Formats: sequence, C-alpha cells, structure tokens
Amino acid sequence: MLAVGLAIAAAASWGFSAVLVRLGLRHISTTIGTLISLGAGLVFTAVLALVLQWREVQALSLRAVLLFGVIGVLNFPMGRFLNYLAMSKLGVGRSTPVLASAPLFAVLLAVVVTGESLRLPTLAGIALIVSGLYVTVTAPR
Amino acid sequence: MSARWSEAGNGTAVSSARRTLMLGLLFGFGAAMSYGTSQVLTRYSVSGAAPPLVGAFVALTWGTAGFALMSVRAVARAGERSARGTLFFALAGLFSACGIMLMFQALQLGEVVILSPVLATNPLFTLVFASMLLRGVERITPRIVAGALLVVAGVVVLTVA
Repeated sequence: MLAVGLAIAAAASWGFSAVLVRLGLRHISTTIGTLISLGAGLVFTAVLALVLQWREVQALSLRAVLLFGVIGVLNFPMGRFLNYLAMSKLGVGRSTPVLASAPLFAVLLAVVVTGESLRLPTLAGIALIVSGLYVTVTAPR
Repeated sequence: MSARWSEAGNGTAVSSARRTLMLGLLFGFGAAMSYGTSQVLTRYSVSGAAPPLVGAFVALTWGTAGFALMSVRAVARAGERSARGTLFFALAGLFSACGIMLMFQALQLGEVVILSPVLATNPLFTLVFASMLLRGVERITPRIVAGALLVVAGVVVLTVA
C-alpha cells in the first residue's frame, strides 16, 4: 500500500513539474529553463546520493559511469530539452500525451534490436497509444 | 482589397499554426524516442550496475554537464533575467527529481507489475494540475483528456503485457 502511495506521489510530482515548466516558459527561454531545471535536479540528487550512498558512489566502475553517461545524455540534454520545446510549441495538454508514448518507442526498439516478439496485448497497447495520439493531435486548438 | 489582405493574413496564420504544430510534434516524438531508448538501455545494460539513486546522480551529472556545454553560447547571448521564470524551472527540476526518488522508493517496496501502471498515470495528473493552474493560459478540452486517457491506457497495457 505504501509503495502504491509513493508511486502516486511520483506520478503527481511529474505532473506538477510539467505545469511548472509551462508557467516558466512564459518568462524565460527553453534553453535557459532546461539548464535551470537540470541544475536544481542535480543539486537535489547529488546531496541525497553523496549523503546516503557515498560508498556506492565510490565503488562505481568506469563502465557503469560511461553507460550512465549515455543514458544521462539521452534523457537530459535530448529528452528533457526536446520535451520542453514541445511544451512551448504545443502547450502542456497536447505535449504530455505525446511524451507519454515513450514506452511505445521502447517496445519498438526492443523488438528491432533485441528481437523481442510482439504479442497480442503489446499490439493492443500500441493501438491504444496510437489512437490516443491521433485524438490529441487532431484536437482543435 | 481589404478582404484579400485578410484572406492572405488568415492563410499565413493557418500555415504558421500548422508549422508550430508540426515542430511541436517533432520535438515531442524526439523526446519520447530519447526517453524510450534510455529505458531500453537501462533495462539491458545498467540494471544492477549501481543503486538507482547513484545511477540517477551519475546520469544527471553527465546530462547537466553535456547540456551546459551545448548551451554556453545561448546562455551568454541571453539577456533575460526573470526571477519568476527561474523559480518555476528550479521547482520543476526539484519536483522532477523528487518524482524519480519516489519512484525508486516505491519500486524497492512493491512489485513493478503493480507500480508501473500507477506511474504511467502521470499525464493525467498533468492535465488535472493544468486545468487548475493554467486557466487563461491553456485550454484543456474533453478531447485532450480523452486522448491522454487512451495513451495512458495503452502504456498501462504495454507495461503489464
């Protein structure tokens, strides 16, 4: 039950964060805004990691540091910046469902790269996402 | 004459709106692809390499450093100073990081099968907060809510499939 409560709090935090970005975009550019949000997130995460898991930080292998580096570059300069750019062009209401389709790309990539097979529930999920995107994108402004 | 000007003006406005929509979609799908790729990489390459908090710290350090390098010129050129904008984005970064920490805590206590669908509902929270806090800025229509519900349902099906 506690785990579900924490997951709801996590989803609400991300939802609130998106609305704060939309409000911030009325005052400063996407580039500066992305940098500020990354900096704030880094300070918060760094304090927690260095205080609570200092030993684990010291024990990191070079391979892990480099792999997390690739993930970090995909997630932050690319993912977050493009996400904020989409919000500035589409608004938060339309860009949120587009961004939420990320698992669709994860599934397609897993199929292409790792050869995972597409089962019926996966196809049903893809169909729901694609129809949701169509409904969102074609909504009058 | 004025009607012709007005028609030309409308045409320009429509093509500009269409261009904005296309660019927005391009950026949005680009972001979704980046996140999707990093999800696959995380699943297949680094799970178990470090605790999630440490992984998030290292990834965020690389990401922030990379973005700072990429945006040096834009930052130097920008003459903008907005305390309000800075505050909104700083809070956005904090809430985003909080969300990641809460997700890690949740995943340590519960099962992925149960928690993934709950985590996937975040677009619905966005729409709820947007309808409360973005009045006069953005219209959240029933159609946008319906689209978001369909996407969330699809993501839930994918995560439990």
